[in-house]
Amino acid sequence: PATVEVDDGVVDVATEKINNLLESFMGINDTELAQTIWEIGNEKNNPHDFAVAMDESDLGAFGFTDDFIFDLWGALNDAKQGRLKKAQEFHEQF
Amino acid sequence: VLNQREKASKKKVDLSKWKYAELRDAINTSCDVEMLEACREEFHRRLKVYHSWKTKNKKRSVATAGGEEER
Repeated sequence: PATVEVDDGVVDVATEKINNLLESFMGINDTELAQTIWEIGNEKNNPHDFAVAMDESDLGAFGFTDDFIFDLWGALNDAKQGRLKKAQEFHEQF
Repeated sequence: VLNQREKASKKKVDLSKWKYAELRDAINTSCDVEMLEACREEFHRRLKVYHSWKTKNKKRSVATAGGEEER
């Protein structure tokens, strides 16, 4: 059967970006959590489906805001489209 | 910004929409006891949810790994 393979580099870049967003919203840096978000988002084609899937998943309990969900979608979409080529550093605001 | 935060605390603003850095800054700079308590509660809420997800996720990973080993 035909399978769709996602470049590992894309996954790494996406999870890193998601992790940075989690750090800014939650103060928590967790690759597993970032990967779970990637797995949910990777199957979705639009932000609405992604937001609904997030709400219906175990992650719904986090109560992420719509703004945050859209930021996550932006990161996912950029990674999928190959717009996130290299790792970006996280700059914490003091 | 601080004045806005003080006003917001009186209006019982929804802290679930605040970013981590905003909550942390409010805790570090506000003298409003109610506001401080509300920020602390929001931090705890987020940590509790995270902890609960992490625990559930770990159990699931262990179960999956165990299942694979049995094959």
